[in-house]
Amino acid sequence: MEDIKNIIESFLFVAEEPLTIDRIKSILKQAERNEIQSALIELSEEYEARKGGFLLREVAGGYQIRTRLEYREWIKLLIQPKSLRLSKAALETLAIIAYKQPVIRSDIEYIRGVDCGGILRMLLERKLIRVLGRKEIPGRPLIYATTKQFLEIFDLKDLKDLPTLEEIEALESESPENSTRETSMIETFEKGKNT
Amino acid sequence: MNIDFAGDFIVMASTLAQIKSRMLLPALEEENDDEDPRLAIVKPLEEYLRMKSAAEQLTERNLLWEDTFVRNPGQEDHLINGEDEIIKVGLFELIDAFQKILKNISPDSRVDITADSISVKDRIAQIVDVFEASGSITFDELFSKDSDKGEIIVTFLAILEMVKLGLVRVVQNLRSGVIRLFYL
Repeated sequence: MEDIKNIIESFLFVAEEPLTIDRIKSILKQAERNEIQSALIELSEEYEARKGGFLLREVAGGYQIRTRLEYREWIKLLIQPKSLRLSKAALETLAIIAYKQPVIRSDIEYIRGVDCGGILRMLLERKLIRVLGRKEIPGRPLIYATTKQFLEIFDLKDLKDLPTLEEIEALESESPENSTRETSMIETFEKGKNT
Repeated sequence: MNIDFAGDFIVMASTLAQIKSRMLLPALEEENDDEDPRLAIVKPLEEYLRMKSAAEQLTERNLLWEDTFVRNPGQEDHLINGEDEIIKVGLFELIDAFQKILKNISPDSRVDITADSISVKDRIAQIVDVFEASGSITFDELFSKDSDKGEIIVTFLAILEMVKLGLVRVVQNLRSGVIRLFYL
């Protein structure tokens, strides 16, 4: 197929959610996976070379045309998006679920040290997390995990795309103002003992 | 008094007291395999600090509907639509609403055993007629006060069936809680 690139581009224009290679393959049956893949890469390079209003992003396991960062303030004059408006507590809970999933409520509360029932409900309603099932331990607690929507909102290819905790720690220690955090918690304890 | 709060406080205080007392006990040199009791508190705290930075990292990403946007015909979910903020209704809200309707029917009509006067299919046809005329209808309007339980159940099943078939869209007003059905 010669115009495969154009067909895929038209799909990307119309698709309501990130388009996976599998989905494209299910329509363009005669096309090979690597053919589709290289068409996508070519499109992405074209958008990059053109430096227009949008680019091609790999999110939530698929491909999606998204606007460039530079024009966000202009777009917000055109449409009024609901902001994410997640509180610090909600974000922390979401981060714990993202990194520790599949996870149960008591594990989250062990780390955060406070009740998070309300936050979990809100995250469920916003479809950022979902219930995977129940853990077969006393009380059969619900198991939580993040959703595809979470990947879409946070511009992630997949869960492996999340920066690892080691990477985050390295970032933290690079900035000098945070270097005090490096003093271990045990040392803080020792100090406390002497006072 | 907030029991949860007080309980958390007592647990923390007693954990600290236990750690303190264990630290005061002379430890035998050989028994070093015992975990440092302070770790019981330090571990979740360190974990929490890690998660806190992870959360900060998350906000710095290019957030959809914040930093980047997609072309999406169904994006009304992400937009503020003026005064009438509506949310998509899930199964549980529908069941809640159904239970309210059941409560409203007169008690004497609850025990009547009669053959189904109307089938789900016919009821769907009736509802579609209403929709053709008006385009949208509230959940409560679909149930007349004097209908018996059988009719109400048939109507409810008809709504579920129509949602499944993609004939209607069910939304709820965020403020008034009124559930409204739109014909697609």
